[in-house]
Amino acid sequence: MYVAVKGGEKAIKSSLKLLENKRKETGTKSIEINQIKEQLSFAVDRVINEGSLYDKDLSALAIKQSQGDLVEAIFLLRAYRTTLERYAYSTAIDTSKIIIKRRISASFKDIPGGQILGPTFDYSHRLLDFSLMKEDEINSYENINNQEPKNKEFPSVIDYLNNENLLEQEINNLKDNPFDVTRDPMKFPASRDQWMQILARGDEGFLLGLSYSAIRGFGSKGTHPFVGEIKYGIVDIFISPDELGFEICIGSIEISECQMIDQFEGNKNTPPQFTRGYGLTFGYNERKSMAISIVDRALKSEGYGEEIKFPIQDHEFVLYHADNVEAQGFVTHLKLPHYVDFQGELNLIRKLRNEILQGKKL
Amino acid sequence: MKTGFNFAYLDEATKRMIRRKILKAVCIPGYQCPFGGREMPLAYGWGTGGIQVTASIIGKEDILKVIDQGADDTTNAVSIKNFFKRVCNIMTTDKTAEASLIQTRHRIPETTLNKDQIIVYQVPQPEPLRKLEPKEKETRKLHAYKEYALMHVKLYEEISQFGSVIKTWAYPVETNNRYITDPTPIPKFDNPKMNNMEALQLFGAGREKRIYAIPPYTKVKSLDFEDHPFEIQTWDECCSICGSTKSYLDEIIINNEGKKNFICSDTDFCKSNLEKNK
Amino acid sequence: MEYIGYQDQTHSSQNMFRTILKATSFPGSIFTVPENLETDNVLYSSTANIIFTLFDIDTKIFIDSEKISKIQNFITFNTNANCIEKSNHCDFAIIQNKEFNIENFNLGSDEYPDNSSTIIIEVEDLVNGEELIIEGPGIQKTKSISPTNLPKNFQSQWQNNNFIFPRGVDLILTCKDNFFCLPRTSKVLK
Repeated sequence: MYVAVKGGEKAIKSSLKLLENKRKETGTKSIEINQIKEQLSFAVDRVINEGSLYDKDLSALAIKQSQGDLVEAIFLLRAYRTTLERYAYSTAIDTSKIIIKRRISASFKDIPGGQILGPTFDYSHRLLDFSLMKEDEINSYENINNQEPKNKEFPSVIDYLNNENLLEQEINNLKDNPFDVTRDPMKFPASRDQWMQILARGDEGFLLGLSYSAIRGFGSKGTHPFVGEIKYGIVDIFISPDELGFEICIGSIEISECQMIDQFEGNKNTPPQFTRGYGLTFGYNERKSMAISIVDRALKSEGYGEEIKFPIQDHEFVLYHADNVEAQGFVTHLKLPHYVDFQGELNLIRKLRNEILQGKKL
Repeated sequence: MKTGFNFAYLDEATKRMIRRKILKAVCIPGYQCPFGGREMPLAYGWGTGGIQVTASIIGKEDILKVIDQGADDTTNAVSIKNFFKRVCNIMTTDKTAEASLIQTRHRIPETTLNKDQIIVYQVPQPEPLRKLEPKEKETRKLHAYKEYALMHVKLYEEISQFGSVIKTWAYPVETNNRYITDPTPIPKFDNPKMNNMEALQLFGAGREKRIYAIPPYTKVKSLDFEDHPFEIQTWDECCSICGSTKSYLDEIIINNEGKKNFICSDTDFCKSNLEKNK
Repeated sequence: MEYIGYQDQTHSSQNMFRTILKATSFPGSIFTVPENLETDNVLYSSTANIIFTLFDIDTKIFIDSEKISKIQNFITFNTNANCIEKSNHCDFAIIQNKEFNIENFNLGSDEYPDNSSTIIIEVEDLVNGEELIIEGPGIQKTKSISPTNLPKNFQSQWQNNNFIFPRGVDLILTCKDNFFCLPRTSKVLK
């Protein structure tokens, strides 16, 4: 009976129990947080990104607690994140100083420092590996570390194009502190710092679909962007406390970065230059960093004076709908009782029908 | 009671930020004040705006009532009430007259509120013009220049198609002769209660990060036309529990043939009305 | 300097905030602050209560007073708020001088009228000055207020503040332990 929604307290308690039981009732061995962290690392990396908190242990915990519902895990991490105090702001990371794990460019055959394939699903044949069905212990693996690159610095590949001025310059034009989407309500037209933050914590599926729409035809130029460079590796994080007056390293994080080269802009008077899109994520999230770089480029359309025709170019469309914590909340709120409003609708539709049906009889 | 969280969950800096915004919202009745909404441990769309407003104003002396659809014991109302019990250790009540603070979704209690009470509405979409103009950049301009033709045209179109305005809930109002305001998805039955209410009315939209307010004794007018004046819902039936003919009724289907009963949506009102009639 | 603020920041500031909220909701009604705060005669206790409740690192404060440096020290030391010199950029102003001009403060924009100054005016007396009758939201019919020490042209300044609505400033008038609010919606009838 629909009135069952009235009856609250007991029902909630039972529901929470049932949910917990779902995980326990068949009596399988509890998964260790470490196992999730190491063996489901892509899930863990997605959750730290969209949860906006670089803590792989808590991410694994959230995945365990949410029983693998990643959107729920992201929500858990976000709700925890808001209660944390801020001690310091880091300086901007330098992605040229990186312990590289993977680095490729699709725009050049070879690059200084070399193309480094690293770990990737790209050339795995997508065949189910049935040997994993019965993997007792992970006790041996083939060490291929001797192939690790010796370089310590990997300047951005596409900066080589800057020597000829072929590529638009990225200029830091921040006047104040960067916009903070976790503290300030959104402002439009949005600034790039604002949208890069939204995209970094945006839903991967949403961004993937949007970027796909743009390169398939629902994008500003309908051309094919070129991957200037993709990097995955470890960078150091520095803070510069006022009382010290110099930088100190407080740790390091994994990042994925994508530099996309896009259609050139220019006219008879201004020599044409390639435009660019940029994507940066926590952890190993290459696909998402690529999607972000395409969305980033599209959001720059207005700045280039391009016609705004497609959803991906529309700041409000993209930025208001990219967050899956917001989106899942609002979509699922529809299952809350709405019977008071529905009664209003029933009341009206009966009245309207009566008026018309009686009118016809006359 | 140890909770492991600050009183009312939010940290003091966040409370101060929200408090400053609430004060500005009261100074500019009906204006949607942007605020740096925080993520709450409850889902967006489930009352996070109302919860943040309540958390910023609640004190240990407060007596809190939470309703959803007019009822104190609906699951989401219970869940929100339990949240505040947990993080504030405060008293709660079902009785409208006893509450100093009422958080609501979709209803205004039938019992008249007084000047020592505050009602906090949960707001899914603070922008009454959003369905007519999706862009915030544009709607903000429309409000700035009091340019509300869009809304009037929309209501007029409904009248010409159906013979009357077909908005039955979230029926737009004009606050203090200035801002068109979304009264939240309350049934239009409740709109007249907002006019000159003695209690302070606060509105919190978490996902959309807006706070707005209607001070006590403020004119709130439901939009209408001279030849099509605003009307509230009426029923031929009365409440099958307490017999009230004055309250908003919910329809309940009681058998497979579709036989229906009507009962008060305001459970506290229904209960006290029943006791009074005994 | 010694911290002189609330012993129990969480609950005292909540209590004071509710008092300010009520005062903003019922313009012209005089309220007494819940705690007496000693400030070495730099500020009224009511003003200090407002400071401890609403000021922090995210707020910009303008001060107009003979005792400006003392007040500045008091505010920065206790709340971390930023004292600034441009009155038209401030979130809050503290005024002890009799002459001031509302137009010099942040009046907000038509799109974001909330981005505007709240002016805290310390007056000698809240009840024995020239009587003004006000009306507007929060006032059932009309309300009489009689603060002293307002500029001579206050009435015309305030009329202009009403005229530019939704832009404008909001006032809090303080004296010793008491204060009342005058939001931009309150219109002076006489």
